[in-house]
Amino acid sequence: MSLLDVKDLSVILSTSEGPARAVRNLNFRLNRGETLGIVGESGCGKSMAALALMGLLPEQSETVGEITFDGQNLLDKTDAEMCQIRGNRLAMIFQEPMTSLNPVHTVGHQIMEPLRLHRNMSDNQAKSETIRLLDRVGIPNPKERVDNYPHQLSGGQRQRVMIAIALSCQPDILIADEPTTALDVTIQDQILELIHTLVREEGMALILISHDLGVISENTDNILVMYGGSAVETGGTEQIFDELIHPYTQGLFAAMPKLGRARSGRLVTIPGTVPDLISLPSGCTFTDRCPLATDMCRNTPPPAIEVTANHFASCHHIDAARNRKTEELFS
Amino acid sequence: MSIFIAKRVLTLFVTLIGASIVIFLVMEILPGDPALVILGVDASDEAVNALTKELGLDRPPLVRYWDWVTGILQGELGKSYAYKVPVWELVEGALLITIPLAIMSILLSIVLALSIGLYAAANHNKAGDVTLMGISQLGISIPNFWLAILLIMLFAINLRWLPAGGFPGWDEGLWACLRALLLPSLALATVVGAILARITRSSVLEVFREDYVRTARAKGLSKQATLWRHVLRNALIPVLTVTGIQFSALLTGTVVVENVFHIPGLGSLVLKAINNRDTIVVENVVLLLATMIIVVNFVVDILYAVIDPRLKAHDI
Amino acid sequence: MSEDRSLSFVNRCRRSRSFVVGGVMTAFLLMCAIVSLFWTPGSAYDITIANRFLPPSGAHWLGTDQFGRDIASMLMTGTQNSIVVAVVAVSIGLFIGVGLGLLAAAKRGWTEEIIMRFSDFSFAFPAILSAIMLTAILGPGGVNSILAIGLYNIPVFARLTRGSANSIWAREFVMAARASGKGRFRITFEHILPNILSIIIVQATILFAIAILAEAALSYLGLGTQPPEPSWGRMLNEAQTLMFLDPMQAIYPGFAIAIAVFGLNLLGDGLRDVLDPRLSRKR
Repeated sequence: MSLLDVKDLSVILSTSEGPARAVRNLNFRLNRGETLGIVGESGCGKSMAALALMGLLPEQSETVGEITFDGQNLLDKTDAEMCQIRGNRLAMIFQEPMTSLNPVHTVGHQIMEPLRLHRNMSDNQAKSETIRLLDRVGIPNPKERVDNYPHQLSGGQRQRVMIAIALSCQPDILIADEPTTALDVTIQDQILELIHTLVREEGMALILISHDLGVISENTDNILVMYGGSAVETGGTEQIFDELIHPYTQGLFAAMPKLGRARSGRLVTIPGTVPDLISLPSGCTFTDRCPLATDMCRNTPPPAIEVTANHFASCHHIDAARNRKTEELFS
Repeated sequence: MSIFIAKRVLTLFVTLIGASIVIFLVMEILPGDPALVILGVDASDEAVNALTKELGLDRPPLVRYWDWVTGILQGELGKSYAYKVPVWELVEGALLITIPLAIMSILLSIVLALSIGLYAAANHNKAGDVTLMGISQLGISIPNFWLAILLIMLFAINLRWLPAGGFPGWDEGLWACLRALLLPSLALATVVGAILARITRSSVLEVFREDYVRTARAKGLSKQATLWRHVLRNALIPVLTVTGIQFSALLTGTVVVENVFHIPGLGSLVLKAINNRDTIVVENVVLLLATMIIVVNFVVDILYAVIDPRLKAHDI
Repeated sequence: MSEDRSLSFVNRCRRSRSFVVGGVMTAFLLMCAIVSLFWTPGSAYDITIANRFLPPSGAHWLGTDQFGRDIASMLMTGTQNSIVVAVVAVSIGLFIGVGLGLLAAAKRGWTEEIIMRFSDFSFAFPAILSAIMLTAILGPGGVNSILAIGLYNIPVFARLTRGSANSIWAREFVMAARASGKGRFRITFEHILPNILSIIIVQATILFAIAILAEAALSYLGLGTQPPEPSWGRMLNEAQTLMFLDPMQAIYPGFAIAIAVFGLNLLGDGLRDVLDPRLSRKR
C-alpha cells in the first residue's frame, strides 16, 4: 500500500464570478521515501492540490475525492484530527520566506512550536532541539540565531528556518511549494540541494512543486504535469524526459532555456494565456492552446493512456502527439 | 533598545515644553488681561493695576514663564484667584477622580473593543458580524454626553440601580466610588469602544490573510491557537495606534461627562474656574490634561516597540 | 470615454449603500436648515409661559419646552447653527491645513520639519481643550468654539495632505513634469492637488461630523453658542435639569446630533467607495 494515494481529487473554489474548479480529478500515488514533482504554469492548480493535502484550503472551497494517507482518508477527518497530522506527519514549505514567518516572534520560538505541540517537549528540550535543527539546515551560529527575529535574517536564511520548522517533527511527507522561486538565483541551488539532502537522509517522501521543469527534473523520481487543474502527463522522470508525449509537456519543455543552444535560437512560447478556471472547456483543459485540438477535445475529457509502464498521458490524439517533434508543434 | 527609548524620552520632553509654551502664550500673552477678566470690564484702572501687581503679571513674560515652569517642577502651581488657596489643593482631589475615571473608561473600551471585534472577525459576514458592526456604526455617532444622559434616565431614574451623579469621595469606600464612576465610564467607553471594535475587526481579518498564519496552521496549530499566538499580537498594532489617538477624545470626553454627572474632577474644576474667571486654575488644568495626552502617546510609542520587534531595529 | 466614466461614477454612487443613505440623511439636514431660515412650525424664540410643557400636537409637533418654545422649531433652527459652525471650522482647517501640508510636501527640508513638529504636538490640544483656554480669556461665545474646532482641524488636514502629497510627488508623472522644467508651485496645483482631492474630501466629511459633535459638547458645557440662539447641545443641557419632568426633551436634540453625525459618517464612507474604489477595498 502506498503512503499517499490520491484518487479523483477535485477542488472547487467559490468566487464572485461563480464556482472555479481549481483541481479536477487528480490521481497520484506516493511511496515512503519517494519524490514526486508537480510541474505546471502558475494558476494550474498545483498549489491548490498541495493545500488540499494539508487541509488548508480557504473556507470558500469544496474538496471532493479521496486522499488516503497511511490508510486513512484525510478528507474524512475533523480539523482537530488534521491538526495532529499537520506539522507532524505532513509538513509544508511555502513560496514566500519573507512573509511566511511571524514578524513578532523569534525564529527559535517559531521552530519550537511544533516540537512542543506534537512532541510534548519541555522548553529546554525544545530549545536544544531547535538549535540542532538550525545547525542541520545550515544556519551559522545557531545558538545566537535562535533568538533572532525574522527581519534580522536574509531571505535564504528565512527559507532555511521554514525548512527547519517543516523538518522538526520528522514528517513522513514534505511538501515544498515553489520553495526557491522568491530567492536569488545563487541561493536557489543551495536551498534545493539542502532539501534534497535532508529528504534522502531523513527518509522522507517529497512533493516538490515548481513551474520550472529543470528544478523538477533534477530533484524528483516521478513527475506529474498539470494544466488547468488536471494532470496531463505522469510518469517516471527519466521516462518522461525520454519521450515527452502530451502537447503541453512538449510545449513546456520547448519553452525551457537550454544550455549550449545557439544564441540565435528563439525561445519557444506556448500561444495563448493561462486559462481562466471558470470558463475552461469541459473536455481537455488544454484545448484552446493546443495545435492538435479538435471538437472532441473540447467536450470529452481525455482518458489517461498508459504509453509505457507507469507513464500516462491524457490526450485524444496521443499518436499524433507522439509522432510530431516539439519544434513542429510550437513554432 | 536604549537608543529607542532615549529618542522617545527626548521627544516627550520637547513636546511637553512646546505644549507649556503654547498654553502660556494663549493664557498670558494673547490680548485679554487676566486682571481685567477677573475684575470685569467696568473695573477702574487703579484696581486693575493693583491686581496686576498682586498677581505678578507686571513682570516680563520670560520671567513669568520661567517661574511658572520651575514652580510646577516643585509642585507649586500658584494660588487660585477665586478661592485664595494653592491651585494644587484644588487640582489634587480632582486628579484623584479624573485619572481613575479615564483609566476605567479606557480599560472598559478596550475590553468592549476586543470582545466585539474578535467576535465579529470570527463570524465574518455572518449575521452577528453585520449586526455588531451596525451597532458600532451607531455607537460612533452618539455624542457621549447624550449617552450619559440616557444612561442616567435608564439606570438611575427608571431602574434606580446606580446613582444619577455626584461622587461620594474615596473615604466612602472603593465600591461606592466605582458605582459612581460606572455610568460615566460606560458613556465614555461606548463611543471609543465602538471605534476600536471596528479597527480590531478589520485588523484581525487582515492579519488572518497573512502568510505566517498559514505557516502556523501548517504546523498543526488549531484556529483558536493561531488566533491567540499569531494573529492577536500583530493585529493589536493598528488597534494600539488608534487607542493612542482616541485617548485625547476620551480625556476631553471626561471633561464633558464629569459635568453631566456632577463629578468633581478636572472637568468640573476647569468649568467652574472659567465661570469664576480663575485663569490660573484653567491654565494649570489645561497643562495637566495636555500632559496626560502627551504621556499616554509616549507610552503607546514604547508599547509599539514591545509588540513589534522590527521598530527597535530601525533605531539601532 | 468621458461619458463612460461619468456613467460608471453614477453607477458607483448608486451601488454604494453608504453613499445613498448618508447622502439622503445629509440632504435632509441641509433642507431643515434652509427651510428654517424662512419658516418653522412654531417659534424657536418666543417665550410664552402659558404654553410651557405642551405635549406634541398639530401646532407643536414635538411639544414645547419649559419656556413655551416650540421644540421642533428649535431643533430645525439649531441645524443652522451646527452647520454654520461645522462649515466654518472645517474650512479653517481645510484651507490652512491643506496649504501647510502642500507647502511641506513641496519644500521638504526645514519647512517640512517645522510644520510637522508643530502639528505633532498640537495633537495634545483637542478642540475642547483649546475652547476652554479661549473661553477663559475671551469669554464664552459661538466664535470661540468655531475657532477652537478650526484650530484642531489644521494639523489633521496638514498631516493627511503632506502624507498623500509626498506619495504623489514620488510618482513618475510628477518626475516627468519636473524634468520638463515646471516649477514646484505649478506642479502642486496641476498634479498634486487634483490627485489628493478625493482623500481630502472624504476626510473633510468625517471632520464635519466630528465638528458637529464638538460644537454640541461645547454648547452643552455653555462654552459655545449662547442663548437665545437655539443649539442642540444647549437644549440638552437645559433638558437635563428636567429629566424627571419631561424626559423626551432630552431625547430629541441628542437624536438630531446622532442622525447628523451618522449621516455624515456614512456619507464619508460612501464617498470613499465612490471617489476612490481602490481605497475602499482595504477596509
